[in-house]
Amino acid sequence: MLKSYGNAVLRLAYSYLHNMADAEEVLQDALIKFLQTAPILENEKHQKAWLCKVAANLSKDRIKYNALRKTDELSESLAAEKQEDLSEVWEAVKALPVKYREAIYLFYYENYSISEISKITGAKESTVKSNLFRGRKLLKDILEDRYGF
Amino acid sequence: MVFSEKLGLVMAHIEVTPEMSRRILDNIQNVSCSPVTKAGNAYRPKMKQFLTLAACLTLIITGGIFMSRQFIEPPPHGYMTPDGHYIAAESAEDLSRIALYQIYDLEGLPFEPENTVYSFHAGISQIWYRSGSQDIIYRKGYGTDDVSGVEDTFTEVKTTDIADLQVTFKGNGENYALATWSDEQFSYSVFASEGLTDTQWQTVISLWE
Repeated sequence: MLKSYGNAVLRLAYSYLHNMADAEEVLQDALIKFLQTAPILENEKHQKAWLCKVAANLSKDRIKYNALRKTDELSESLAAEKQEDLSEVWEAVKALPVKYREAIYLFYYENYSISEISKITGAKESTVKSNLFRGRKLLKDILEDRYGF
Repeated sequence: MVFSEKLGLVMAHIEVTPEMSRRILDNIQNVSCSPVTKAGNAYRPKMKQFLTLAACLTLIITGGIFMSRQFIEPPPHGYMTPDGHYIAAESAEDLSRIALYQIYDLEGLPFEPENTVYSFHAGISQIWYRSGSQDIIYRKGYGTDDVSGVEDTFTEVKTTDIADLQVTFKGNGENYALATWSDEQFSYSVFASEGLTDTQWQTVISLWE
């Protein structure tokens, strides 16, 4: 499972927390929860979505209650590689409020549908649509029209 | 290049490294055999501590004794279970030997099972009955926590007394899909993928054990 979904869950957690150590702990806790709960799920897609949902909740709990670590290894790595365009995209995504960022990330990176994002984040479909719309607008303001949406 | 492709290139920098993978697996192994204490639950009955220990020992012992057993993959279609960590059993009697507690087949099922899969994982015994697209999954595990593993949200919840058991039913619409109950030592659950009528539930649970 770590092999199949590790990267996806780690990346999702990182998109919330912007720190590798915090994201790793979320990945670990999500896997522990999976083993302890042994959820009954319909197929592999649901298995991944279940892990993403747990990771999203664990990440949001951390944002609410824990002091997060400041280091953003991804920013540092992109800066070191002099990948200005990628740095620009990451900084723009990172600057979004959490509710917009999670919708943007799950839609554009994970290719989840509105209804799937609604199940993962626990928000209504109408709220997801609106978060996606507002997040996209903010991204366009920051990135202008350099990247198509 | 469009935004989603750029975001893909950004996120490709975040990866589970072999060291990270090792750390996580080590930590999971440690946690899986440590007694779990819930926040605010300072008192832990001695019997429960014993049962937790027994569950961990069972995992270790069965892991040793049943090395030759096949670790079963989930059935090729239908409900998935955690991969690679289940010990397969051949019958309810065999499953009872692995679990170190008694578990019996359910009776009075609304269909004649075409396949029955017996398995054990982390202290939870599972008997999975399948016929066509219908599944009934029976679980028994230590403690009073819900062992069903069913994550669905249900709109209908009711508690009914059947044969001295206080059973909680959950479902959407007319038929309930999940029944859970517990006694002093164990928790039980029965999940019916297509739901069962009140009469069908009554039959299954009144004939239980």
